[in-house]
Amino acid sequence: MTKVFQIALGILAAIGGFVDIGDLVFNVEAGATLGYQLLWVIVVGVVGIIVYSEMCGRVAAVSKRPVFDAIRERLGFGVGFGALVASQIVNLMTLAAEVGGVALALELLSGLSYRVLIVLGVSALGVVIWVTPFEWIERIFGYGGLALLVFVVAAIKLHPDWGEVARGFVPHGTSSDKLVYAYFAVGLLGAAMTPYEVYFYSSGVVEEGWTAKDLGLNRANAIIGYSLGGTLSLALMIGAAALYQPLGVEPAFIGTVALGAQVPLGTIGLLLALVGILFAVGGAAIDTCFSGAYNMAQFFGWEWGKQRRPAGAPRFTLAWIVLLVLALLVIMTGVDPVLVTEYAVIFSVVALPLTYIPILLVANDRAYMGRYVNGRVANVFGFVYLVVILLVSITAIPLMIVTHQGQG
Amino acid sequence: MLRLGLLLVFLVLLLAGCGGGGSVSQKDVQKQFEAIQSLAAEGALVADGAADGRSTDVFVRVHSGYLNCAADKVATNLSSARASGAADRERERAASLATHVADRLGTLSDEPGDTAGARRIAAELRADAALAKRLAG
Repeated sequence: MTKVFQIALGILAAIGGFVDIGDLVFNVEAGATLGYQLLWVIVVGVVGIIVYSEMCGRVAAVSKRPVFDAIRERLGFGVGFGALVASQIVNLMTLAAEVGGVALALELLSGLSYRVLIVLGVSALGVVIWVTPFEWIERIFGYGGLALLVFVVAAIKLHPDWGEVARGFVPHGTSSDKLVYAYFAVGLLGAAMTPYEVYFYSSGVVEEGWTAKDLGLNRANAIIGYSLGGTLSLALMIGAAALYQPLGVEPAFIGTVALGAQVPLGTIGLLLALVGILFAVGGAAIDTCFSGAYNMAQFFGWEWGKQRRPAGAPRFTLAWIVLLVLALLVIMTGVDPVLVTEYAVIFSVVALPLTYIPILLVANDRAYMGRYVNGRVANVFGFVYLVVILLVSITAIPLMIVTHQGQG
Repeated sequence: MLRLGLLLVFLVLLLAGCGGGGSVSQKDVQKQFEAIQSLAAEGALVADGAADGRSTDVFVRVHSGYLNCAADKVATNLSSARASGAADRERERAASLATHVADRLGTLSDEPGDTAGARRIAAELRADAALAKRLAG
């Protein structure tokens, strides 16, 4: 039972990070627009985030240095500060989108006013973060988000064309609009490897006090957690391809995601989907909120950590409170959370190299890592993914502009 | 500081999807027909759930309310826009169809518990979606 609880960090990182509002939106949009053609991208993204999460978890467990420590040291103050600003902007956009997603899920469950629910949702998140121990946050949101497994059942019940599903795992572009195909591929990779996942994960490893003895647990967390997240992403895309593509539905609402479970499974499917979305998006809001505060604290050398009481890490505590309030203000302007999500995902792609290059460098530094330095397999995967990350970071914004965010 | 403020206002307006009206091309009108098809088809799915008692009243009310707002926005934008020649006739047709779809979604949102009404609306929205698909080419 202890082991089951110990993989909660990976499950929260995966549910809150891999199946956050960005993935819910991008996977369903990609399935509705391009059918099963981009299933392979999810697999590529899952392997990438497993490789880098394992690496940054290992670095954190062995050297006690989370990602932003490494970024500042390896990139220097100037470039590191640039990375901090870029990551904080993306974090804030993502947090605002997640807060909006929480309010939308609550609205679809309760029927109360969206704006009232934004305030209630943010207040509830603030209270949860303040009073709940780190490990219980992981458990509540990680395991609550497992209700999203309803989308796996829904995808099967929608009777997809399994031959086409199988073909979707092999890269092939039958889409007439290659740029739209490329835009969604880049967006899906960005959503899968979004930087805050590794900020949160590596800091969580330090919070939980993992050491070199826990490297097996670290690997299990990365593999099980993100594979689970990937399975949910595949289910969302397959369900959208089976249900929405033939009807010409262009998903633009969180409710459309939940409808994908309601149509095949009825009321119980709908309720499980909405509860799953609420926990996943709520977990992601906490991930991003903490990530922003971790980044600031680690960069400027403040005391940090949820495990310390607020009085023990006052500037860290102030940082997450300020981030939460800023997100509240952004979303209260009336911006569409789904649209904010799409921008956040694409902008996060641009920031990917600044996050992943320092991880790879530190993981190869024997002075820090000793005998736990990267092996040949980790390096091959690490360098291949670095090339992929560089390519997608260069192409993300041009593709967003020329395809009008995938509208063609 | 002022420049930063203006930039933020611009970004907020951009993200909020403000704007509308102006001149539209044939391709723009086609895109709007596709949007109408999407909203009508999705609305039909929501109405099916309401008709069969396989959804919740809250979900039907709230989600069809969002779809209604989106269809209403399409109708307003098309109504206030201008095009030339055949494209203008298509624009008017699209605006009219978007208004019908918005009305039906509004009714569904107002009376989520009316199963017979939901069944009728589902059929109507399916017909609207088929028409929009045909007109989108």
